[in-house]
Amino acid sequence: MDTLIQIMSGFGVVFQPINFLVTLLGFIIGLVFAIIPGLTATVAIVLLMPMTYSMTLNMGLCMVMGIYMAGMYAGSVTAITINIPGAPSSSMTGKDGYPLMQRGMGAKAIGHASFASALGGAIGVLLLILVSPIAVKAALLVKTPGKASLVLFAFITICALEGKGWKKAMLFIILGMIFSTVGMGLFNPTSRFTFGTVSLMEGIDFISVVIGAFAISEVLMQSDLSNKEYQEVSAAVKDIKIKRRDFIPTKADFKEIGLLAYMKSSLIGFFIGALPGAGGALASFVAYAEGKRGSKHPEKYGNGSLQGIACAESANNAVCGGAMVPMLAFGIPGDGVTAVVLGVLMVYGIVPGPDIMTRQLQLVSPMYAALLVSAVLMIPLSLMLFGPYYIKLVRINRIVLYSAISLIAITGAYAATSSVFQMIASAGVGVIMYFMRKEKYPAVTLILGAMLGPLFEGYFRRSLSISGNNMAVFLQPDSMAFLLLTVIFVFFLGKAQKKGASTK
Amino acid sequence: MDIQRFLHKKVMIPFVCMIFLLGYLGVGLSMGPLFLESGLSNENFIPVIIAVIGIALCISIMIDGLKEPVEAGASSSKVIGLKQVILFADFFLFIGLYKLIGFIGAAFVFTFLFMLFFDDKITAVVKKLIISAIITGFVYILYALIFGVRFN
Repeated sequence: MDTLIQIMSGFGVVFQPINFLVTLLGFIIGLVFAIIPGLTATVAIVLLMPMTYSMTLNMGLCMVMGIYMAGMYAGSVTAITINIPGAPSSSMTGKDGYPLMQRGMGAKAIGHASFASALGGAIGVLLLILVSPIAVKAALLVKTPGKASLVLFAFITICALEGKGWKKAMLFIILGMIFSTVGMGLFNPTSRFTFGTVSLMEGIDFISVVIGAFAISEVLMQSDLSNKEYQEVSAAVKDIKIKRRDFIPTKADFKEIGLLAYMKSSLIGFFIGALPGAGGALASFVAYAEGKRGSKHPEKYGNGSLQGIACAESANNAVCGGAMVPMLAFGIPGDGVTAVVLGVLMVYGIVPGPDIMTRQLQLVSPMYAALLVSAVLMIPLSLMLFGPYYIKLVRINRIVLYSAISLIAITGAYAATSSVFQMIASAGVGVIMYFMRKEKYPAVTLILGAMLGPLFEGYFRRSLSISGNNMAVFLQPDSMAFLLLTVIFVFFLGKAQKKGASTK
Repeated sequence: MDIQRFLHKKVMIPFVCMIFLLGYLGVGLSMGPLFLESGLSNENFIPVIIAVIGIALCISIMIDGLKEPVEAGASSSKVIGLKQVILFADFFLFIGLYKLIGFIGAAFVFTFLFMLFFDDKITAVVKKLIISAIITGFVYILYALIFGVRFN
């Protein structure tokens, strides 16, 4: 009960005028970043991160949650209108949205995507609120060796989700951990890997790694794309006219989709979101496949099915609530965006791990409310206010946009740390990541390594220290539970991937 | 021997990572024993373990890369274009200029060069100069005035 009361107190915070405005602003920023192909909500939060130093914790959390919810939804706009998903989580939406667009029903498709996203997002947050008291109890059971096993579970799960690319993912986790080992030792006041350089003594800041890995490398990746090609794509948007009244879904449409499809997809999204590293793309894919399997009209899927759009969009927005479960209960991010959100929490001195929920729930409670408010805001903002103008964002001059983003990113590395060395580190990580991402090395794993690496090291060494270097300390029930979970997860995921490969 | 097979990006990237990790492992080992006399783990304990795992992974990724068929012209294909090299350099130029002439000058030069070379061709120079000034002003206001960041 205490947990629920603490969570509810967050609603009072979010409804304070300044926090509400900041949530709204975050929502709009998230929309803009997700609609423009190439940019994502993650990049938006990364750029915002250095600025959060000057905001109160509540303002920072409200803005980040607004960006997160809008970012999960708005990628559907370009997926529907020009068949280019603004975010990976919207790939499935385009399969049915674009055929509808070609038949002159793009507004209807966007309307349904908005409604399904809002409903999925709200269900995800409500489930998160319901699950939280259980998660708090679970978090209290985890002792130091269990915490080490938990981080290991997260690392291995994320690598397993990469399928054949698991070795690259694991190598990147290790490189991320290496970044975090530069500087002062964790337990003893000795320097590590500094080569006597004063700048290296301060270590490579997590924010510098995030800015380099997500923002600078993304800008460099975008430079590979010819502006002429992009202009051709955005020119297609010029003739698209969307009327406000066409957005509103009809009763008959809702009947065709069915409440069950929304509910089932939202549940799928929530539970997939709760798996470390799974994310919106996987959730929308599974919900879409399940929707098709259970549909009375599976033949419509891929050919303009409103149910297909509803399934994909409810699932990817329900991920927002699901991904918060491992993040808040155990400090393990559910996807790339929550990894960066966790970084924002670190800016405010909130240490990732089970302590977030057990000791600091009061501080993070506005996140629940801001996420729910953002989901609810989606309907009036998208269907009644900004909807017809969304698609115009695609026509923003990308040269101006990416120049501004680059300057904000590199300046952000300085703003967050007041260190020129961190700017160099950020640019260096960005350049390295540019090459690695082209070879399909996943950026998220690098960030997780950099973020969770010091925690793993701390828990692991502390466990050894309290047990007199006896590895049997990891056979305690809480630790064993996570180790067993790791084995089970890897086994079933491997089986599922083999099955997936053979059906292809 | 087919040299192209070894110069492939899928082999070269893990190879470079392995060299880096070997160096990291060497430095880690030079920091002393993994366990102190008190029995506690030393500060190089985790670095040495992760370096060893990393090296094994690099070798495995290299072997996978060697097994993959080399696409025709893969080794001669451009790894990186001039545009990207200039953009990389632009980031480091900004950092250098920032120390020399401060934020506003460095940001203006950075943004202008970025806009110039991010484009497919060098065109509309005056327009880009004006937009660079606007972006610089916007970012300065954002950080210095709104968020109170103090630039040197």
